[in-house]
Amino acid sequence: MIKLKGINKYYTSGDEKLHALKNVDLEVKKGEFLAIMGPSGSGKSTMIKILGLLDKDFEGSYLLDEKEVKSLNDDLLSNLRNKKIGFVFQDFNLIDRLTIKENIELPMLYMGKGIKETKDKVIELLGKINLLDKINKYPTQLSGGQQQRISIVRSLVNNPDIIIADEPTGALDSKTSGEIIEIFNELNKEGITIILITHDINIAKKAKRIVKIFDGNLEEVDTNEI
Amino acid sequence: MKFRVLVFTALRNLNRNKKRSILTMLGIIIGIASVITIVALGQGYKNKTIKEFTGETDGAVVLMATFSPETFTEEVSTMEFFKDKHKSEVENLESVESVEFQYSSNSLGEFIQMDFRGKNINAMIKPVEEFDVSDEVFGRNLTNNDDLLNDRVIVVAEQTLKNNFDNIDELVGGIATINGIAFEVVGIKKAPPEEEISFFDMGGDIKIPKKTYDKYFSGLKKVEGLTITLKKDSDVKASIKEIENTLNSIEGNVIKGKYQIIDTSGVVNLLGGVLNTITMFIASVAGISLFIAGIGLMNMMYTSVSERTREIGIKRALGARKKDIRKEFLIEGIVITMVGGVVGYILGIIIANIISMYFKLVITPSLFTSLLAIGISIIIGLASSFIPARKASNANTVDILK
Repeated sequence: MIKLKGINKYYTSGDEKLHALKNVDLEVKKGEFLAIMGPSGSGKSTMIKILGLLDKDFEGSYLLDEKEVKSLNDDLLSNLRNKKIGFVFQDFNLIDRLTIKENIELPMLYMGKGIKETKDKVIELLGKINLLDKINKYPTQLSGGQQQRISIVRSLVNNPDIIIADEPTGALDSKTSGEIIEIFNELNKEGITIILITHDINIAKKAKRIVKIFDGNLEEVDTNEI
Repeated sequence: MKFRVLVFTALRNLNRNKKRSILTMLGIIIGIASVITIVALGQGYKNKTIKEFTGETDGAVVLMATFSPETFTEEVSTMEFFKDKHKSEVENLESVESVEFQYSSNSLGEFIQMDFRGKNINAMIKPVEEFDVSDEVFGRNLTNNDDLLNDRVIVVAEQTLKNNFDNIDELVGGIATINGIAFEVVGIKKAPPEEEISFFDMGGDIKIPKKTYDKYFSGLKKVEGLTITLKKDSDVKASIKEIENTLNSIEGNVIKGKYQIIDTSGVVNLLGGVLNTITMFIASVAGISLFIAGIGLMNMMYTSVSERTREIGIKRALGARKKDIRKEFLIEGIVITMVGGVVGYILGIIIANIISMYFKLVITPSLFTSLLAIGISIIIGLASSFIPARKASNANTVDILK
């Protein structure tokens, strides 16, 4: 499903050139649960942006479903993000001035649905996570765990193939973290490919496969060793 | 994103940002209201002027029928070529709405000769219907009773007599002869101080009660032609031909000649055009306030874009295309100006109606003014939010999301 080959990414600030990703090769198959581990500054965020089609300014080849990402224009990439990929962020990235309902329906609206059509879907999904009573609340009125569950629901509304979760438990206590990871496990069982970025080994261990990134170099980790 | 959804979200955003939106809108409301007030009053005034000019409202075609004799003799000038049969024949034509006789008299009065105490004086005589008793006179002013009783009384202006007589006040009560008919000079209107003589003071040299005038001087009025108003939507050229043929085919004239039709709509159009130009000029001066309102909106849009940078990043990650983001801000700007435009329009029409009461104009909401208000609103909305919207859509997603 995802094939990265010889990815190099440079950042330039002033005269300095930073080599953020060094010749990275990575293949992710459909239905995999992959954890990407690494300390801050290792190139994790750069990986997410490239994997999540937010940045196509890199060297090398990225095939998503056999399509070369670099050859796609901005509109097509937006469409792919909308339909194929769901994002879950560390600080939830819910829009504070919109209600829970309005936050969740956004990806559906960008898909071209009308406001009436989206309502049923929002109610159905909120019911599943027992947060239906929060439908007209604002994100700041919810706890961290609730917000993260909302943002997972938002990433799921368009039935994506891949979920990219960037430190989804970073802002949560260990009990809530466990619950969130359990949700990812369930989703993975349903066939959704999960790419989880974390620096916490205990969280990474829940994944079926772990890769480690350090100073821009990516290497496979044998899950039996840890 | 669907257009309906965009409009809905824009309205929701405005509602959640009430104070800021209303303040921004206020500029648009004031600007549109003043432009609409001026344009509506201008149109009302134009219609009134045209109506006074032609007796009809804007759009009706008014024609004038005249007669040109083949040879001019002394006789001809006193002959009448339009009789009742001419009028009724033209009235019977299908394309004709109404026909009126046109008299040679004008609103300034008639030139006559007056014999007074052996002097021959040329003067303008003007029939009066409204009796203003505030004029300063030797003797007395004309009254309603003079009119009711058809009294043969006149009031003469001091200026008219000054060159011929020395002691003006002694002339009151004298008898003046006009067209062989004797009238009593009951009053002499005092001349205003030299510096106050107005160019517009067309009061006439001799004032006479209207009914008295009609009784003794109706012979002075001569029918010069016909004023013909065509029905709406009738073919002007064909109608002119038809009326000419009808008039020329009526027999019984002593003198050989030709009836001709003059289309006065050209003059009316010209007059309307001039008034329109003046209105538009004043309106565009008022429109400067709209320019300032536009700057206010642009400022608000910029603020709004920078406040929502993170939001734009999130939306882009969720699949919003650049044009979705651009449209979102554009429509938000246009919605502000459109709402402001509608409120301003209603306000403008109300103000115009209040003002028109003092000027006796008729103001009606017209398609033109409403399109003008909406058009201007959309243009300001587009112009002021275009650059901020482009800035928003080009925001670098990579930098926005951590």
